[in-house]
Amino acid sequence: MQPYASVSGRCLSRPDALHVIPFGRPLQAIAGRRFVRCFAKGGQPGDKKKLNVTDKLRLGNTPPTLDVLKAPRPTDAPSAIDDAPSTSGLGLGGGVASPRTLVQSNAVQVAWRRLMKELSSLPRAIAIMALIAVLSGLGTFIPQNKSIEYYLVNYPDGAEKVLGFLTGDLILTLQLDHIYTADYFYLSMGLLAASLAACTYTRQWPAVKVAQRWRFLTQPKSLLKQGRTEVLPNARVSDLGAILLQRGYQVFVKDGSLYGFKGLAGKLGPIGVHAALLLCLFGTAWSGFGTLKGNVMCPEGQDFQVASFLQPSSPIASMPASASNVIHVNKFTIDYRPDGSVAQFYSDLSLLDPAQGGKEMMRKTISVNDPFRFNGVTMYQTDWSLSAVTLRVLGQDAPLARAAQAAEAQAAASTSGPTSSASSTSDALPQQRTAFNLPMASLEGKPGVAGRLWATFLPLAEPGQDGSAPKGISILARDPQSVVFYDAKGQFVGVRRPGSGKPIEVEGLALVVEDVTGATGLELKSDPGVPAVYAGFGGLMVTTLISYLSHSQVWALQQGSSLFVSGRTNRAKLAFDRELDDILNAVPELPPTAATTVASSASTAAPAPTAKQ
Amino acid sequence: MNFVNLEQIENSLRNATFCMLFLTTFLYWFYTAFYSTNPQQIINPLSLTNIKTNFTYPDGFQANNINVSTTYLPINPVLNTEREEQPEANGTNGLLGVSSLVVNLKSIAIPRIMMGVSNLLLVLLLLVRWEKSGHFPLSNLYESLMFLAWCCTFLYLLYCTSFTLLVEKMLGSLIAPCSLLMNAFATFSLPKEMQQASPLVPALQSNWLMMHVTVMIISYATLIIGSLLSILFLILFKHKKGTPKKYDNFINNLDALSYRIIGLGFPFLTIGILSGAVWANEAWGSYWSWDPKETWALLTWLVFAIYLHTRLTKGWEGEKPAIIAAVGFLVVWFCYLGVNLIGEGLHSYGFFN
Repeated sequence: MQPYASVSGRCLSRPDALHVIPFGRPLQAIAGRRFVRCFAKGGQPGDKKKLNVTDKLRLGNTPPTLDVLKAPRPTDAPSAIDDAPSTSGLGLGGGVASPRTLVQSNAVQVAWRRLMKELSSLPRAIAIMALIAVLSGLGTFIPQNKSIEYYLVNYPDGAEKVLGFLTGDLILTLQLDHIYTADYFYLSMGLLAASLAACTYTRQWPAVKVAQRWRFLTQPKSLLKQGRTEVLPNARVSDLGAILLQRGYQVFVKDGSLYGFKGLAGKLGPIGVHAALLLCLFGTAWSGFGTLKGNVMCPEGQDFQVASFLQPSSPIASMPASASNVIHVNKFTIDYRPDGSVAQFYSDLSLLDPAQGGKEMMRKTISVNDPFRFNGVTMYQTDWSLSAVTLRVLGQDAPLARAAQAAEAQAAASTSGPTSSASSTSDALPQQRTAFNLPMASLEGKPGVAGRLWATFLPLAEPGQDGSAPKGISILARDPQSVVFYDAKGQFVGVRRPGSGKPIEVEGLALVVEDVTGATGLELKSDPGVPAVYAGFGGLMVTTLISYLSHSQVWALQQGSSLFVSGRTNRAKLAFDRELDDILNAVPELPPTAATTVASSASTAAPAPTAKQ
Repeated sequence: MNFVNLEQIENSLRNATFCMLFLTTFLYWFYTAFYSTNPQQIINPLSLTNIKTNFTYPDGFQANNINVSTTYLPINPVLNTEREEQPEANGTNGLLGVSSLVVNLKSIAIPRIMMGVSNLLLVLLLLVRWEKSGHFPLSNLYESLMFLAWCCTFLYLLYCTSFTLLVEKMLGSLIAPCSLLMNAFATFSLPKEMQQASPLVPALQSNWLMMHVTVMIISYATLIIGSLLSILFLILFKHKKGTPKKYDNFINNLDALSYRIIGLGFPFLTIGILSGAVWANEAWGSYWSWDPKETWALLTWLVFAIYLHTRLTKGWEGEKPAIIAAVGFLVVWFCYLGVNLIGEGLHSYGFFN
């Protein structure tokens, strides 16, 4: 008795009969698949036995029999697995060869197998991918992660509903304001991961074992089922084998039957793709739970502790090794081009270890695309701002100059008695004494302000009794290159470049801009999932390329003096067609007498499998 | 190099590429419409006699599936008239299509050469822009469109000899106007300020720029051409009833070609997306931030993954995957251009915000 004897090329027989579902017909109608089963036990060729409900119930409840599950051995001739073309959803040629031989199954195993089958269904996987695609696309049309007011204002309820139904309330209820972190999105991703894993486990991995077997065919009609079949009169199988070897095929010959294949990597590629995708998803999940990140805007010359600015993304995220370290910003510079556009941002950072008395562990000047990495923490140059402007008031008559002079004279008198040095150095000291810092605030986003703007105010009088703003000088800057002065009435006075030393006369004061202190905006991140994600990315890049290769198979059978040749490929169909043409053209035709002697010798020759490389 | 000299060269190259692509388009359409190719018997110059042997099949053998007429006579094969004409059917051979010393005016050589010249001119244009701006010529929409046009012509040159002559002419008739339209849009429709190469902002000053953008544009080109072939296949498939049976092979070849091209574009798309993710991680610490461009690239990837998987499903061959590829065509264009116009995100040109 042959297993799967009823082969017609369309039999979707599977080794495990446990997928038989009661009331399969209605389910078939819903799911749209044809559950056609061929069961062994003396079926005739072309016999498709459709099971009725009673059969299905009976088979579903009884354990499968041994011979149904046993996989055919490699030398079995017209086995269903060799002869069936690509079955639905497998796509890798041949059926599933599952060498399990089960005698008994319990409820858990039944449930597990059922789960695997449901998860590895290709239409379902396609539906999940489509769902993720639609949800992702939706997130690009509805602005994400904005405030509640934003949605209520921009998607109002009432007469002017967007698209006729989309209101702010609807968006917030359906979590459409944060689609990518919504429950249903995570669920879809999880389903996709489960589907990938199930598919690899149930279909792809067993198919690899099938593909690696030598599948000799011993009947001409088996050859017909493989694909395009040609007949070469007066030809030898060994000649064909030699030509195939030259073309890079791995060739196996036995008893006048030949099997050659090429490009097996193209069949393993998709498994690698699934595995790499799973690694990526695992890495992103790890990142999702284990990441700590934060932003800091640190002025030049200041410090900050790394740990203060690392916010964990979940309770199980752990601080990295360098969390206790302190970063000191030595300098922040912006390189400008002649036309005024920014060339690059540079931050000179030092990492200090307080545990070792502030010892500098690392120093690096970072820029955009060149981050600072130390012990699990990476710092990226992402932002900048202006934190203070250093001004100097020139001249002895300046109010602050006089006040500072008086204070200093008093200090000198209390310590060492009046000295003439106080007056003699009065020319030199005012230069340092009257330089002061004014912290700047950002006016970005305020009404009437376009772009980034920082401003500060130098008051010249006390605030008024009624609380009105005092009279003073307004100082504005858009970047560290130039500082703009406005007088007490708000009139524009002039622009000065920091460090030029050129004074500007405002409201009776001669001011010099010494310096503008910048602040560097750094993004701190500690992400443990990155190595896994990178590994997944690398694997995905390589395996998708490998999957482009075409897996070609050639069978040949010597029958008398004629040679039956059949060939099949999974991807490059036309190129394979032409290659097969060339191969068959190259097989030499022997004179009829020689051919018959060859034929007789071939049938009596001892089998000698030949393989290349 | 003298700046003024480069400017003039660039202007002349702009015009030259447009004219060349226009002529190429016209030639391909002309050749496809008027010069049909007939299947001929290939005479192998080494053959001495025309051997046709008689043989009988083994007893009891049913020759159901065997294509009897393609019985191979190794020295002198006879073409099956039902199959499509062979690439060298009109007596030419080789890439240039030159047979002995006579150039056949009807040969495919002339359009091929024109396409090759267009390709070369586009390369020159990009090189001149590289020299002028000092950075890799892929920093704005104009340059990326030119590169896309170059990729399309290169794709033609890559695949032209792989399939039959009729498929090749159809491919050329499809790719040439594609490149022409991309070139024309970039040159004539884009505002002049968008065409100028400006210095790179700090975020783009990275070696990843070359890798990521190049691979993405290559993948866009392959996916666009593959999807167009699928749309063509759909149209011909739907109207198959009136056409002679000999074109069935041609229609199936279109399907196979579109599968192959999309199958090449998909790995490139994967590499492009992933290199973009790695670049983002190196630049600002986040390899995926659901930026509209990233999201739509993922969407494109998912649509074409669905396409490739649908082809594996038995009973879904031919028409249904082609419909998915047609959807993919729209998705690719929205990913490339549409997202930049939405107004938000890292890749925005901000036209419509």
